[in-house]
Amino acid sequence: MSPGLRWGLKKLEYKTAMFKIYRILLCLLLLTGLTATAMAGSRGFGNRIFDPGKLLPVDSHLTVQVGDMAPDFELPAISGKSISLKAFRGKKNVMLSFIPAAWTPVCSDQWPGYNITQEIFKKHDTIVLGISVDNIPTLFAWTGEMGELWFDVLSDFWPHGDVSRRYGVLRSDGMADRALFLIDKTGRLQFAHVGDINVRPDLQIIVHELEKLP
Amino acid sequence: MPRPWRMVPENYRSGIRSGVSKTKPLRIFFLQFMDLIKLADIVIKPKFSSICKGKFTMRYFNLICLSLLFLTLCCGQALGQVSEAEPALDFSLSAPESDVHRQYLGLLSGDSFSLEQIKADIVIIEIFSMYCPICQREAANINTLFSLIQGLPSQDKTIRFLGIGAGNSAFEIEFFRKKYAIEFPLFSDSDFVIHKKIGEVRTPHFLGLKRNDKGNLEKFYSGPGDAPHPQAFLETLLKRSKDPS
Repeated sequence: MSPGLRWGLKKLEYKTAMFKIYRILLCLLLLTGLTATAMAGSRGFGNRIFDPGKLLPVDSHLTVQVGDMAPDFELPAISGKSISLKAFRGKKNVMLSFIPAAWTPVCSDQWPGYNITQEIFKKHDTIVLGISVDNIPTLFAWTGEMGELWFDVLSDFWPHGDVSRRYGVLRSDGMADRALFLIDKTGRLQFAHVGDINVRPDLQIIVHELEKLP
Repeated sequence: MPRPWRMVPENYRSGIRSGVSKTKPLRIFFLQFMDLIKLADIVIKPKFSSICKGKFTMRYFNLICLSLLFLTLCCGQALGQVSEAEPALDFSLSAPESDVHRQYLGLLSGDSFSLEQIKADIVIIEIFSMYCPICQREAANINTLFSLIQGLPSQDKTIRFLGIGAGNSAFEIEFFRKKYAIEFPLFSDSDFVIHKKIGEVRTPHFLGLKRNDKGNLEKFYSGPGDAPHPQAFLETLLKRSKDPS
């Protein structure tokens, strides 16, 4: 065997060995369970929750600014009604809650919280509109697991994510980012928050902004 | 989609683990085992043979390696199973601001405390979240459970009940406490630190701890509980505290 070939074979052996070491380390990591994710997750959804893993925290760019007139829209709600943002002008403040996807861990743990905080929103003469790019049947089945919601849940399914795109929260994967918008009675945007998609926004942020509403 | 979606089983923490340690353990174990043998053959054997040339040890090189690797992997598996069955309870909680709650838990001073510092024979912990629909629906039943515990004869063992809000901020905990008129102490675990330590359980989840002969707290119950039937659930807890089996 020529020295060159021997050297090549030795190098190949070394590379193979290194590859094996990485593979072993990966297996050991799996065995020790270090790859498990950290989410609370309610038993209420049974085994029907999908875990997307850790996603890119924000994957969109806001197209609206505080002080702007909020883009108007009309979307179908799971109640069968068609909800228009304009309809609340001069009557109620509106909080838009965009969530990425139904049947996912963090989203499933967000709106049930708003469902028990109705008195806070009522105190500030504010209604909540939950918006998702999922279709109506999916949203109907999913929110049914949360109990009876006091606020409307709207589907931004078709044209897919059109409202999310107009607010600048549509991600490149077709989901919406986890975003909150507060719109006052004149239709002007008073607060815009696009948080880490993997984390639920703290209720305190919302209460703090509600208190600042004119 | 940056990552493929994967189905999450009923208890997705232990589910992910069981996916590795129950459904595929033999395959992974075998692959690991074969990889390590090959690695030993490629990397260690040539060096080993230069040291032990012609000696007795060399003849049994593969056998020695096999035994050592097998033992190492078995220990790893065993340790993994132990850690799953016995999640760590060595966490601290912020001391309650309320004097009533401090007194209830038997805490004298300090900003934080460990479970061991609670003056009680039995400690029951509810892992909950204000965002969890079941926790919301069952809040009244949990209050009943607390009242039942409070109503137990004083000559019996001291039982203390507390709640830990997984992923809930102090503000959210306070809202939940007021909303459902909860009298027992509630604690915030906003960053899921405690939740991770106890095995990322789904909410609501109950832990029952009792003092052993050495005076340390040991777990006698871990499960979803039976909040719709507080009396029966309390009886189960008391029974299990005497006989965990």
